[in-house]
Amino acid sequence: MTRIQAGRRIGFHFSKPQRWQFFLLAALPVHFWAWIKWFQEFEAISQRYGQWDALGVGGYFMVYALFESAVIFGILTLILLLLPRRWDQDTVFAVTAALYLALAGWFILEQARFLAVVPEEVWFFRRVQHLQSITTRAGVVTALSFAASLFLPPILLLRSEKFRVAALALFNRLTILSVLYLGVDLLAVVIVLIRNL
Amino acid sequence: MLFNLTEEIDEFNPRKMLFSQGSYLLDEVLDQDYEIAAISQSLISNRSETKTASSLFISHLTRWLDSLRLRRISERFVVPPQIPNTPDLYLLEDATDWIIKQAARLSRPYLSYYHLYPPHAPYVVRRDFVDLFTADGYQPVRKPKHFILEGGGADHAVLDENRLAYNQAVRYVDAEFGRLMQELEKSGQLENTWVVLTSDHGEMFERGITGHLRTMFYQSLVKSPLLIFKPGQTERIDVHQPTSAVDLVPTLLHLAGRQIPDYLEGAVLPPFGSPPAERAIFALDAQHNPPDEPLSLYTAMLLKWPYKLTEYTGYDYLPDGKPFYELYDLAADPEELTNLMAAEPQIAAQMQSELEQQIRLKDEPYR
Repeated sequence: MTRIQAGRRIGFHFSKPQRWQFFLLAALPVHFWAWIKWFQEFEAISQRYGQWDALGVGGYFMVYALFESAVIFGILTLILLLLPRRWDQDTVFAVTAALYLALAGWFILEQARFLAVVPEEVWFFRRVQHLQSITTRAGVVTALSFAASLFLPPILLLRSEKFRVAALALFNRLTILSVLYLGVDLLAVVIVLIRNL
Repeated sequence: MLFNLTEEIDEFNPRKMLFSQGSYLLDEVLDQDYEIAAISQSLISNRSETKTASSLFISHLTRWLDSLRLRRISERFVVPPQIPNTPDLYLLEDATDWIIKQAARLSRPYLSYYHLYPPHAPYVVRRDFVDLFTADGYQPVRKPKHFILEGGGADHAVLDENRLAYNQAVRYVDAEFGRLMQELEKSGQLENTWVVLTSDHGEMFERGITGHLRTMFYQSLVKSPLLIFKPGQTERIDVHQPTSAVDLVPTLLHLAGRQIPDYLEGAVLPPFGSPPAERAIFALDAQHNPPDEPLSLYTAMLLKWPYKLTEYTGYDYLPDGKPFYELYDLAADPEELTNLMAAEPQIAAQMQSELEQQIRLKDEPYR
């Protein structure tokens, strides 16, 4: 196979509507976490600097979240270019979304262990930390959980049409939430612009 | 209080500006909203052990880049120039360079105030200042551990180690201050600029205690440097009278030809003014006292040369829960080893009365 032929075989990319949905999905956990962080910081900043400045911090958070979403979307798109073009769009979308959201979930848990407001018993990760007095068990539990979260969904998505349809419906609903986040991002851009006039 | 006054100040530059991270975005694009933008940036990418970052993914990359930067800068330093409990790097050299730039660009007349971090713990020092004092033969006076430690506290070896690190850090600060003065002199600015160098507090390495967080007023804590450089000054003048940090504002107002408001405590410092020889200097540390309530938990000090009286009131560690007093003759006993409360009852009673009077006066609005 020549390079050109190989090039024609790879280079997967989504259709325009799915590309937009994919961007919304990429933005979802990034914005979700940015909002949590802003709620955490709001009171302290309000007390010290006032509510307008606390809103300003939120503005910067959301603008950065928008930037980060674009970067993540770009990276994921580049990775997808390595996949064969002829692969089914819905399947690729579902599997990529599942992997990405699972990974994002772990990133959120990794940061969330520092959140004092979250009761320890709620978070699995914290339970794992409790178990760290027996390191091997903690390591096995974490590794198994991580592997399960990354491998199980794609396997199910590839094997079960029902599961795939349900997952796509779920992701579709989640992207609606993302649209709300992006709406707030526009407001955030305005706030940042006003503050820097 | 400083943050409440920032609206009165023409230019307030948050310290983060001087952190060794350098941001074109902050300095050039978001400079109109620098402070909040800088705080936001810190929260977006902050990955210190006690905080989280609002950036879910890219913060990991920024943390890695921070660690590379820290490694590069730390090669020049014994202790990494990091603000404790933060990922922020702070180089005194950057602050000095920035002050030199400010001095040239600010329109006159101006008053500028720079509160620099070193030689605060963790006693950051450049490698060229290490071992300057290890063979100097200095033997500190060994003092018994303070009774509040109840047998605990740092032993002499730890105190000596910390004192050495601190002295090296002070030497490093001294060198940078020297560089600042040289640049000001070279550019001719010293001809019409007053320069004041002082400190907010000292540092203890005695009685089993290191640092400055204890509510005490030993000389090592309260005796901080104060140097005033008059424009065109060529001769050194040593002032041996006791002075206080509260004297600075009246002195600066006097030097600027302004009226000194009645509500200001403090005097115009010699040689620019003549405060009374029998002057009383007070200090109060009520950081643990409930805010907006009468004083019940505090340490207070009265200095009437050569005697210094310190009162400890309300602390759990006090024997019998009663106020505890220390009276020292600083001329005969500069190391504050002999408590004269029993030996000098008349002086003790007189100073106690004066100190109580002052405390009642300050307490008036809260009763």
